[in-house]
Amino acid sequence: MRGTRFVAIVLPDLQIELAEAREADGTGHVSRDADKDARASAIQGPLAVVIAVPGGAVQTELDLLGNTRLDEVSKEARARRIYPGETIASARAKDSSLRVRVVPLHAVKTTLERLAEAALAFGSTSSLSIEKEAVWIDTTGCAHLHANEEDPSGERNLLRKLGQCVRTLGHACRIAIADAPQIAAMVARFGQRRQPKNDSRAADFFVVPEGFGKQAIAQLPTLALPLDEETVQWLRDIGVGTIGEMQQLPSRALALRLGDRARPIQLLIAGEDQTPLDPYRPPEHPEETIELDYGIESNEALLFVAKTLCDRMSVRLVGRGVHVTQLHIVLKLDRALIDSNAAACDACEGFERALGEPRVRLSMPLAGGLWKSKDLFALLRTKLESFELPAPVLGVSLVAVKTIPISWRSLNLFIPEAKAEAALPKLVAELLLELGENGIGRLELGNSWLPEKRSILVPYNSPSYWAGHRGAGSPPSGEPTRESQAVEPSRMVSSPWPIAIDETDKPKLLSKIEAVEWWRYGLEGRSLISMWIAPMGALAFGEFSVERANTRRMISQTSQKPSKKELLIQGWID
Amino acid sequence: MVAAASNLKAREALESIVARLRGSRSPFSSSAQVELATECVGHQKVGREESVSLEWPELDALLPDGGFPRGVSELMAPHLLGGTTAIALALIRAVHSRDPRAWAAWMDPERTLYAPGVAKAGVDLMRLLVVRPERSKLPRIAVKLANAQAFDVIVIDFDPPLCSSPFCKSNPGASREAARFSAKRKNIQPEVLVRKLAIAAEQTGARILLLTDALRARSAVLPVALRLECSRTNEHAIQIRIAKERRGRVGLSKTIPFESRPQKIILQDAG
Repeated sequence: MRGTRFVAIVLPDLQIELAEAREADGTGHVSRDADKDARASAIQGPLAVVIAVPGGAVQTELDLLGNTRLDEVSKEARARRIYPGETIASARAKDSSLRVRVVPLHAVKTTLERLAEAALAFGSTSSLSIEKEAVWIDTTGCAHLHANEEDPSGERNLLRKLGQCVRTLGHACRIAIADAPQIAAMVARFGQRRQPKNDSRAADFFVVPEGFGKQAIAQLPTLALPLDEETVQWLRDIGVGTIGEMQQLPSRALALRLGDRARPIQLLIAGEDQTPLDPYRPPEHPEETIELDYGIESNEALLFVAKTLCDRMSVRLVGRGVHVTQLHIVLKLDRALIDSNAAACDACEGFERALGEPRVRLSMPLAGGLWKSKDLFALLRTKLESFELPAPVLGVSLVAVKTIPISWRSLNLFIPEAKAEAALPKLVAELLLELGENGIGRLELGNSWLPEKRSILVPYNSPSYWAGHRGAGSPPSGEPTRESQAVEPSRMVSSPWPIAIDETDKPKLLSKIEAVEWWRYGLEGRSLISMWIAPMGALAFGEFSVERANTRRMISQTSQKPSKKELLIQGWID
Repeated sequence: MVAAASNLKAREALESIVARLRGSRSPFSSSAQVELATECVGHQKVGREESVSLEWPELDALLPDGGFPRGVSELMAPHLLGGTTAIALALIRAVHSRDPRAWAAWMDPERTLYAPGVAKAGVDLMRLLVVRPERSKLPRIAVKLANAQAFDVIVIDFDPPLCSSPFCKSNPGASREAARFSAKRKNIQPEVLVRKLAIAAEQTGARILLLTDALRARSAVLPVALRLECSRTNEHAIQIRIAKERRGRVGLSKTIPFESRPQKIILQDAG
């Protein structure tokens, strides 16, 4: 597969990390700020993990028995010669301080899906494997975007950034790039670093040059190949310990031994891999969920959990290349305590029962779209700080219900970026939460000549009304305007109020409208008047009360001159 | 006199920069040093423009420095109706026309701002954010807007309508809210709010206009950089008096024609 490049990310300690996180704070979150060494020392003793498969006998720690087999062990346990596949009883016989934790399979799946979605920011397609605890990304044609003087191809920089991304999510990883997915995965998992790392927390990454797949895997053990244990043992028995030695074996004899799987294995050890990637299809709405072992009753603890969700959601949004324009936060409530507080729950904003599960769903529109973790958290904090929890919260979900693609644009070296473009989306989103949709926006000319309908408030980032009028059918010689040549008031009151007109007053006709929306208001005309009101020192804008009343009737009275003794003030020309 | 003072200041700045460049072991030649210094002073002068002309000749001639300064300015008028809205719109229009990316914000708790009138004043409606908070939330949101560093101009309908004002008569809800606002006084004191706005404006370089009611009694004057007292003598004119100015240039009063305010010219027929 010439010309193709694939990156494989292997998470060797994923299960242990998830188990440690569940032990540490009960949220399943691996703190990215925590020093792994410090955390390891804080949690003493070896650790082993049993994966809880749906429908299996083991779902929680209470289901563990002496004959339950371990799925994964920590480095401390391996140092004590405790290996995966052993029973708990035999492992504890070697070290009684062994801690065994249960990690649900969906936690592993969710973590890999999150990583696969984040990886979409680096390549066109990503794929994942729960069994191998690995994620692949097709980076064909993408590495040059990360090139610089030190790394002309860009592949090392790409791997470094990917490693940083994975570490941000709180996982140790090994990353490799090669011509084929399986080659990359084998090198990532079993590749040996030539020199010791300066920083133990830095991600291991390997670059297999193009066309050198066969040479790269030659040094790897035969364990790296997808062979059954019996075949691996047979190879070991005949003195073949590495793939390079296997490459020297006669192909016919090897094929006889491998049987049906001979062809793909022989291609693989020759550096060829035609296995297609099963692309990961992210869900329509990015969603992050944290299930809690115990109920949260305080807003501060809820914000702590929300911060984690925002970090994870931001990574997903970057991977998809989208901004979120509507965010839902769903709080799963403790059912046992709901029934005793039913009245408060029903009055609570966003309370609902989904399949019998009580929860609260809070919706947050984000005008302009946001994607950064800190901006999302700022909004959540605004919403949750003043929110009264009706019951303890057992789970928190963050769902990006509506998203828009990020529109990337080049910056000019000499022209500074408009400060409003960067600050407005976040500011407006915060104010929308406080004031609602009717409390913030921009003014627009309404599509009517009635004075009371000519001013409307629309979302600040909505396109100009001209945008809806372009296209087929528009008059080619110009477009209708909603602006008038007459004098317009700058202020309008919500409820007009009458004022008597005496002989000294001189109302001035500004404009006259007739038969506007005649099906509602009749055919009568309305004279829009300005009049100087000396006691107030202001120029009023309004219309005659009689004419306003006449417009309510479907009777033409153009032959009669209406009485104009009262002015209905609607606004001010200020 | 003002222009001469600013030129003197610019010349002194230029000379000090040249002296420093000549004193240092700069790789540039002496002529290049002078050219660089000139360019630096020029950029410094343009980037820190102190006042914005409203393109309203009579008003510009009245205002010290020919325009509104950075910081917080106050426009007082009886019943909030002395032509202050037109002055605020003129400032926004001037800022919009200077910079096609500049934004302005208007805090309108009583929801009286009228789009056709704003558009007729030449303001770009696409770059005017209108915020309509409740009166009780106005101080906090005003500070938030000022600290956002997103706006070149912020106009705030600072005072709630008095019960005798025309706005109050048409909006009984506003009068009740205004009475509550006055009675409880749980909000930040107006003077403190203005100081916070001034600090934010100094950091961001924004111009903040407060539209206040001249008939409202205050325990202390607002600490603003510029205060104009406006009133309409008749339908064609506005009388403006400079009541406070940071450099003490007060007392000047002038009547300017209302029709000479900058307005958008509509050439094509309506409808």
